[in-house]
Amino acid sequence: MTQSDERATQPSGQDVALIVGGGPGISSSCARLFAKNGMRVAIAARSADKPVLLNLEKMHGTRRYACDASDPAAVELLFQNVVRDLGAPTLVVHNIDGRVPEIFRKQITEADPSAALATLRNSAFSAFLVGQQAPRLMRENKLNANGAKGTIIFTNASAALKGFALSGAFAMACQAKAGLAESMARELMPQGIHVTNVPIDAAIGWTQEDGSRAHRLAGTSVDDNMADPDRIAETYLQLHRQHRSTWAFEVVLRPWVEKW
Amino acid sequence: MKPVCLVIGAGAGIGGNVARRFAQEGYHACLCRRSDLDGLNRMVNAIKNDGGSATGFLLNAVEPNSIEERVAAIEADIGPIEVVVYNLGAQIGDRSLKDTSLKAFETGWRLGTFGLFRLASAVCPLMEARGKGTILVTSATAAMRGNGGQHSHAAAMGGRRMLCQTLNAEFASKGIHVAHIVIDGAVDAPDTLGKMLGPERFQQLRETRGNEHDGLMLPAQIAETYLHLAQQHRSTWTFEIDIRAFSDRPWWNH
Repeated sequence: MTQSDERATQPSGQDVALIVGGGPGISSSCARLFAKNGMRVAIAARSADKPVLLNLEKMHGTRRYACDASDPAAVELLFQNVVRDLGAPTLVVHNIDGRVPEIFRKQITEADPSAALATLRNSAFSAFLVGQQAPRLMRENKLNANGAKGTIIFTNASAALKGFALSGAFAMACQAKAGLAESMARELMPQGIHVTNVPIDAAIGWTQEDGSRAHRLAGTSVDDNMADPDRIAETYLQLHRQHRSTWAFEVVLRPWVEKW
Repeated sequence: MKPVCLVIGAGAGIGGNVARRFAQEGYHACLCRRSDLDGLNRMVNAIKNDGGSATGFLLNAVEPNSIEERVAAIEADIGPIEVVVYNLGAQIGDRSLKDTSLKAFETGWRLGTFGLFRLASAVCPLMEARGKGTILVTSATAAMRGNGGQHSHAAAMGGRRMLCQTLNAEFASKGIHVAHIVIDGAVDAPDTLGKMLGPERFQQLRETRGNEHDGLMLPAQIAETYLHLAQQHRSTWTFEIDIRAFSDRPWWNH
């Protein structure tokens, strides 16, 4: 069952990371940290020409890919392109929130069904598509020094843990994603692929040009009361580096002062 | 003066390895265990030979005042306790209800829940006054589900988990990071699993599931996750984490 004889003896310098869903928050922090740690990093977003992604390319050599992650053919093509350009991924982060603007703060009786469906497609369905492509490639990877062939991390939200009022569609999407992650963990961990679900139980405040940290709706972070995406990325990296004798599945991250 | 990492329950498994890992990180490790002075000295010397600093203490956590006095003495003589690891197990193997004595159940609670309560009562005021501290609590599958034969253990660990939650609710916003760590599988630990199985069966288990199979959780690897938890920034603390060997069935799928 084991292939320890084929295992690399050193942590791999050939790590290829693919981050699906790219913006100024967790994805940028991951791209920076992964690149700093010697990985080749790909980042995919619906629009690959955002300034934040151009900047990552310039500063850290991150490869940019345009991809509608809710489209099966587009996701398949994304993985093909990443393999062609960088090699087979050893770390895949699904980092898509998925909410469309019209679904925010809608009573169940007034939520537009097409907006709810779009949210599900963007979030849980794209997670399924990414979760399907990643192990097809990872299965062929050699075991690294930790006995792993790859890591798949699903960024999730508080709604994966509890359904809030006026947030039915998002709760559906997040809990669907959590269920997918749990099922994939059961299926893939024995095959050497580490699957994790990471609900971020807080607003995420990313560093602004003036050095403060802030969230678009929640305002400015005071005394670390919002999750710092640079710190989230550190936990993602630690999960990726866990030895296969001690793999975590669910890791909730929340600020010290967050009520839960 | 080095900050102290105090480990209650420092055998050759998780406790000893966590102590060693934190000592490598610059903490003074205080290792406490109930018996086996020779084993304790070996672990302390191994840390010292590594260039780390450590002190060992025999401590019976069930005895009144034992934990409280040890905490006070370490604070007075060695340094501020920044990290405390509560690593006492209470696993007594599967026993039917009729084979679970009142005494066994009560001991499980004393080690599983009450000892942590006493430790928290001793260290939380100190950590709160300093505005920071980390309490890492080793826990078990039994904290998440009560499997057959686990009456004493599951009640003890369920209590431990809930106590961690109430401690977190009171102290997180005061700068104390409480983490409940679900060890959801068998650990390659000679002092606990090894003693429960006996040398022959333990060796057999290592050969079939452990060693290169990585089906037994390696305590030195577990220690890496403990260290990461202690190093998490307060904007992104983890309260609970579940870890197991890749080949093991997680608690939610039993």
